[in-house]
Amino acid sequence: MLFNSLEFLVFFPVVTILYFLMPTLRIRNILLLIASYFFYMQYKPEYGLLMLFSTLINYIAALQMDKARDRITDKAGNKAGGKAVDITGQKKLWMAISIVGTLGVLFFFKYFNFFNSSLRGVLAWFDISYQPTALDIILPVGISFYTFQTMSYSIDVYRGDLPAERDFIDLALYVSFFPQLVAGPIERSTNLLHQFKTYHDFDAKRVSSGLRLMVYGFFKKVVIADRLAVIVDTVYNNPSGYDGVYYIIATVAFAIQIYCDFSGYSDIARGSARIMGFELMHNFDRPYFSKSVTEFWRRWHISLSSWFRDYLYFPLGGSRKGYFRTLLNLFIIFLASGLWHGASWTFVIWGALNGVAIVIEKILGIGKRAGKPGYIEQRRQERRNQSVFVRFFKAFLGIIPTVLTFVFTCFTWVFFRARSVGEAFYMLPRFLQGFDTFDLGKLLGTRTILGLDYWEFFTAIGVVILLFMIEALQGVKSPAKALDRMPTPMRLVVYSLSLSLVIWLAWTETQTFIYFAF
Amino acid sequence: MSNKKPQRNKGKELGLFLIKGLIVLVLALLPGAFVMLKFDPYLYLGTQPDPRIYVPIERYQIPGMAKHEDYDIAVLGTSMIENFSDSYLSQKLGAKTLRLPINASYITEQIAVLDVVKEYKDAKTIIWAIDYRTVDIEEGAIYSLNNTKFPEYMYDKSVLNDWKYIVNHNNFYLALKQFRMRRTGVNPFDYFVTDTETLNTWNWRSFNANLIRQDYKDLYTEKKNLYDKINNLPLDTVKSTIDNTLIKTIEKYPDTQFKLLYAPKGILWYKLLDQRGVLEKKLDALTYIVDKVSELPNVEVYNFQNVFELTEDLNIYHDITHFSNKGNYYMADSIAEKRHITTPESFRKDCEELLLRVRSEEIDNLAADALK
Repeated sequence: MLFNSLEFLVFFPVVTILYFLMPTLRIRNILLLIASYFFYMQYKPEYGLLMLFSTLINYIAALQMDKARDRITDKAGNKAGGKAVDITGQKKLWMAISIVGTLGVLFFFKYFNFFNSSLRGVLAWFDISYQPTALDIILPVGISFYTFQTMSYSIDVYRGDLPAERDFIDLALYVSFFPQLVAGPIERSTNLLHQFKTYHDFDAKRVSSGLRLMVYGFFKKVVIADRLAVIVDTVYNNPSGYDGVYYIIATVAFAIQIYCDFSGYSDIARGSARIMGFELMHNFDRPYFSKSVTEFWRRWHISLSSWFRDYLYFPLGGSRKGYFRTLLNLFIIFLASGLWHGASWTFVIWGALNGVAIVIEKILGIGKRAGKPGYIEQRRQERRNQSVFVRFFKAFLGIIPTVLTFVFTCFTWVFFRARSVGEAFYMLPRFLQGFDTFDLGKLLGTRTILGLDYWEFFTAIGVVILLFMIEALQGVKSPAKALDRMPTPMRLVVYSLSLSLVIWLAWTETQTFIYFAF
Repeated sequence: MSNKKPQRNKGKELGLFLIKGLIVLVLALLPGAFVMLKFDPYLYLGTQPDPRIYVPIERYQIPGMAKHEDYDIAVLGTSMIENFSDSYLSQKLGAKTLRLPINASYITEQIAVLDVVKEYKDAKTIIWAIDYRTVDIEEGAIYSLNNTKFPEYMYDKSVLNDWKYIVNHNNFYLALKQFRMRRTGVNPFDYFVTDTETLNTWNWRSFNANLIRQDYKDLYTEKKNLYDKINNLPLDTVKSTIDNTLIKTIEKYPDTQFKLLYAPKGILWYKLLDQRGVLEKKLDALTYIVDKVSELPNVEVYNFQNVFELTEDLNIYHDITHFSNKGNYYMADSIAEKRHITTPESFRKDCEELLLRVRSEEIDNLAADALK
């Protein structure tokens, strides 16, 4: 079920109303669990079984790890729940079972064919014939998201940061919670699990805030992303038909499309969860305003970046094992991030490019402040305290690194969007060609511009400008707070205009969310 | 002074929230809905101001026309009927005639159009071009190749789903564009049409022998996929579809005169089907229709497949099946003069004659030439 489908427009209000009508927490959680599985199994009923399998493995493993920890701490005479040494190896064993079981499913469905075909390519270099049979399997929607979410739970229990969840319903709901199930944010058990143990009353203010977020998410998705997708598909599905300026337009369009698509989904997820009383983590923080690639990754897909930081970068030693090891660790997590996005060399290269950029920035000391916790909020505060003149001057100077970061990001998106590595390399040199023959008047004078009707094309430009204006405003003040301070009639007018924009400018051709593929 | 927080009245809070929500929703919907109700871009609601502006997107435009245009005879079918002239047909048949084509449609979509026609206008004569591909489907199938969408909500009787027409960005933009065209007199995007006579026609295209030869070559060499044009289902399936769709529909409207016609597609089309072993099956299916409708008093079948002066005049074709309006004028004259009406006996003879012709040395040479 897509968020931007009629089914969801019926499903969500029905579930929400039923949720608030349920008298007890237990019944509410059961209702949400049933609704979440129903939501997920709309894609393909069998997918539900996979998710159940993943939940069961981690439920049992976490309980066993908890048991082992308690036993050890008791023997050592410490208080139960304290950090303990795993003398018997039980914890490690169950952690391994959990990781192998959970990642095994992900590997089989997502990477089996990719690794086989890559292996065939490598062996072919050595003149060794390897003809594996490609499995005819369809990647279950959102598997990468819930796999990581489930793993974070087991790792937290293993580390002793969290006691094992004894209530299977609550854990199953944590894994399958429908707002964020198929495309994140990848929630942490420490943030979400305990929220299922609280009874959330209907709160008009909170519901309004959730609806606001949903409308903004829909604006990004159905008004901007789906419209820009036409431009992007027109060029990227036929790269030999275009060059230079067209590539640039399509790539910038893709940068905005993927941001609006993914962050739009996150906003709808956060908004719908908030309506029911759950607070999901912030997944995007105006990434295209970043002044360095390091900062970009602090602002882009925050739930994944922080996942890799906590569950891969730190276990690899983080920055504690020397300078070169730190650089290597940074590179490894970006390579892994690329692979997480898709079983294709285009994603691996995309991840590697970002990794290289981060390493270079680390060496040059660029984005150093950005790496510190709370930097973005700190920068926002600093700006608020500055005079208009200083703010304007700094903004003017700040444009240069922001533009450079955006250009680099767009360069990496070429690999992300291209249908193959070959096509990406075909396109790259041609980005600089065709400027002499390009005729802007001719482009704008035609009825259909890069697949979009003339009106639609200018609507696309208009809504993208509006988006960046909203995001620029978010940098200096909170539009949500400003809205809350408005007199009620004016606020209702603003809400109506926003909703009107979404309803009447929504791209009618329903498209799936890009990140579902991951 | 009490430290207790004042208890919130949940019922009041919810009530107020719902009222505000409703106000927001109504305010958000009203302006656009007003535009849609006022300008009605596909004539679906019948509120479009004069002069009417038509959009050549048949699946969306046709139901509104079927409901709100003035006519006594409706012409149904695929692109085979697009080049008919409404005025010529009206003059020849002595009653106002309106084409209601849906290109590449199956019988399912065409019956949906017929039902709208009968519901709103009760036209007593229906001219209906039946292609083999129209019935070469599983019952109920709707053409969906190339992302083609069929807006069923525009054809059913329910008013509950009409919001899909009203709250629709594409339609909203069309309404604004038509508004602009009415104000400026300029057709902003060329494709708006103000005259039903030219709507959906394509006589402006090129027609010559090279085009049909090339199309035949592309299909023969599988550069183009023949099975994009036909499904080639088993004959029993096709017969069952014919029984449950075409025949049942004709029986449903016994007071209506149906004039079914088999259009004159290019001879190379029949040759290709024969080379692929499909032609005999196609003719069997069409024979089955003729047999079945011969039992019904309100049906005439016109067979133009054997009009070799048309089918072998390659210069009237745009591709292997699509002919210029010369074919349509010929059919219009024939229907008016009741020529080429076929019966089970005569149709069988026609089929034998067609097979002989298709397999003749002359046509073999014609096909071989096209492949050069």
